[in-house]
Amino acid sequence: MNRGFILRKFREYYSKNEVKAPPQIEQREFGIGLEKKIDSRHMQFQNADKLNFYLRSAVPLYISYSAAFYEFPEARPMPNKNRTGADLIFDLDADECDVSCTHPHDEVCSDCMRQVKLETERLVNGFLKPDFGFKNDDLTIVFSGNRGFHIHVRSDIVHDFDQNARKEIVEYIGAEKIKLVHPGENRQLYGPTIQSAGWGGKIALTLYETIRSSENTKEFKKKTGLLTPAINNIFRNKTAALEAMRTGIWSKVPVSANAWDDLVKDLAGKLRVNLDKNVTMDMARLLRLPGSLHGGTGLVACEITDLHKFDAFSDPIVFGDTPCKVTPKQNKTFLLNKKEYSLEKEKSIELPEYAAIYAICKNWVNIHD
Amino acid sequence: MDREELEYAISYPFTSKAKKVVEQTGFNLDDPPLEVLDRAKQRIEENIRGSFEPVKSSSEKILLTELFSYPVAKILASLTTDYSLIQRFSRGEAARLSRHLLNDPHRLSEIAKELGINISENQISFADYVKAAPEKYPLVNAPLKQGVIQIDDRILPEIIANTLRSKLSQELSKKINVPQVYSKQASAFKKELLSFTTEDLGPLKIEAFPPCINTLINQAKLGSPMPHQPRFVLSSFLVNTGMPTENIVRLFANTPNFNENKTRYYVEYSAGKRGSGIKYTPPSCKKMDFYSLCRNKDALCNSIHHPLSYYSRKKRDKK
Repeated sequence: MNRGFILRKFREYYSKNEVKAPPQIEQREFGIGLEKKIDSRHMQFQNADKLNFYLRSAVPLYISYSAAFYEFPEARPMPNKNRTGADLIFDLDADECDVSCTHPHDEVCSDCMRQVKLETERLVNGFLKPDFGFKNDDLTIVFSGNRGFHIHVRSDIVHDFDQNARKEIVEYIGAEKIKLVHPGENRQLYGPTIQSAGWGGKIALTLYETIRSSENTKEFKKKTGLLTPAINNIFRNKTAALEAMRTGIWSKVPVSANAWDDLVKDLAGKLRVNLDKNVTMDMARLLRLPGSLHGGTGLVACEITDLHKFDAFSDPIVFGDTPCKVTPKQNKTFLLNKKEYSLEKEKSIELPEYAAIYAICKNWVNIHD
Repeated sequence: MDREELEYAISYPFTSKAKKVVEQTGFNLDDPPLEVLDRAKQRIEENIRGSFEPVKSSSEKILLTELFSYPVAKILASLTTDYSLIQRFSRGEAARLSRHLLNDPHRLSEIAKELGINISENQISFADYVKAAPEKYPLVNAPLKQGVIQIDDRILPEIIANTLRSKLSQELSKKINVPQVYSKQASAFKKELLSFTTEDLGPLKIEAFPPCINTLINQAKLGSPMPHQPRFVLSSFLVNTGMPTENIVRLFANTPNFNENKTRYYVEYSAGKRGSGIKYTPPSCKKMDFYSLCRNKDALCNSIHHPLSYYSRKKRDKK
């Protein structure tokens, strides 16, 4: 009964709404899920009409498309598809973020979503634009329909990146292998300055600003959450430390190279962005198609124009508010469309259609026919 | 022919200038003389072993043979469809290039441009950098701003050489149409060239498997889920030790959703008996670590860089 209801509603959605074709649709591989997220792949659609016709007639619960372009998207096994390029993808979801929510791991609350949104904004405004030089037009930010965001970089220069190139990029964002302090002449230690480009500048500037604005180690620790031994020496020589960050001669402060390395690593750990690096490196990955419905929530995976204003529990709602009677299978409270809904096991309740669909997709309730 | 031009072409055989020189000589790639074919094979062997001396000769014939050996060696390397041979060949050519660049620092930007790297005022695009980042200078430590990196003179030669390496390995991994004279003897060439790479691993010796592989084997036996990456590692490792396909397939029998035919296809695929025909080797220790598959390291692990080297080393030590 649940399944029939969902399929009917999904069909209604696809009949009324045209899903936009991704760029170069004919070179993309598609995968669809009737039960799970992907239970059949290696599909191809020549144009938006064929895609929409399929969505209306087959009504999959999930549809995904490839980041990669292929000469033969339907060919199997994978190497026969002959990949000609791939978008660069970043995947941020609640799993990767440091959130201390108490709910079960596979659920998502507004706190997790706020955190993921912040991380996504940091990735765009702290890395992709200033460091990599991508422009707004190169970046498409997509809500996955459940608990995170995908950023699709569709600039021509990324298309021929191989796996190693993509690895360099995720390691940059994750600050892996960071090492900024090096010994030089006269037993001096050299590091970046507040004006350096890349990670060097991020670290030097953060250190400079935090040291300058902190009275003592305690305040510094409070601001950064760091507890490395180097900090005591820095505050004993505060003026020299600020001078070091301005000039790049870090040996002005009596801190060993190893201690600097540890401080840099710890600080980078706070400034890095957590993302699922496998998604970026896996060039055969299929991603939720923007404009399609997510079978686990009934929310639409949508392109986002203003990430800051985006509300993952309201904006992606596409269904109406006709009352629908459901019987909960468990006790549950959830937030949707700025309202809180409470379910009590076995106690039938009327929910607006969008909330009923959400709860059915989550497998929390049964629908009454 | 201008001697200087010829020497340039020998040092930088991938450049447009060099290709023009080859054209001018009227060299017919479809019908290489025996001495060129021999030199090409030798060139591949040198690349694999990482030992080469620049030719010093006044004989034009020897110099020309050297020049022609490059395009012929590329065809031969590609014919083998052997992933590891192609990688090692490409690395060898990159090492040759590094040496020449050391003597020709004034040619750096010219050669960079030949390889499609755009340099102006010591700045290059991050896109060129990540495709050829030297291991010692990962992007994370580079001064990256607005997509551009101010580059150090010391790093540039490495980037240029790495670019050649990745271009070659990509080009040679693609299926190409080769002149008949090569394809007719393809299997003979392949056998001869592969003999340079494979130290014969000899009879299978399970006691010599590295700890990472043993961990995966145990997981498979216990029926833990096997995602793509560990599955590939295990099957490509075992294929290279010469374990029979059927034994490898049986090893996966307890994993969830086991499908015998799919698994057999997969194992044969790793062995190069299916699909692209490329025989795969498992990832290096560095990559294993990146994928969090490096487990239970032991003392020997610290002195090797590849799971297969662990195997051959331990086997030799056990004899």
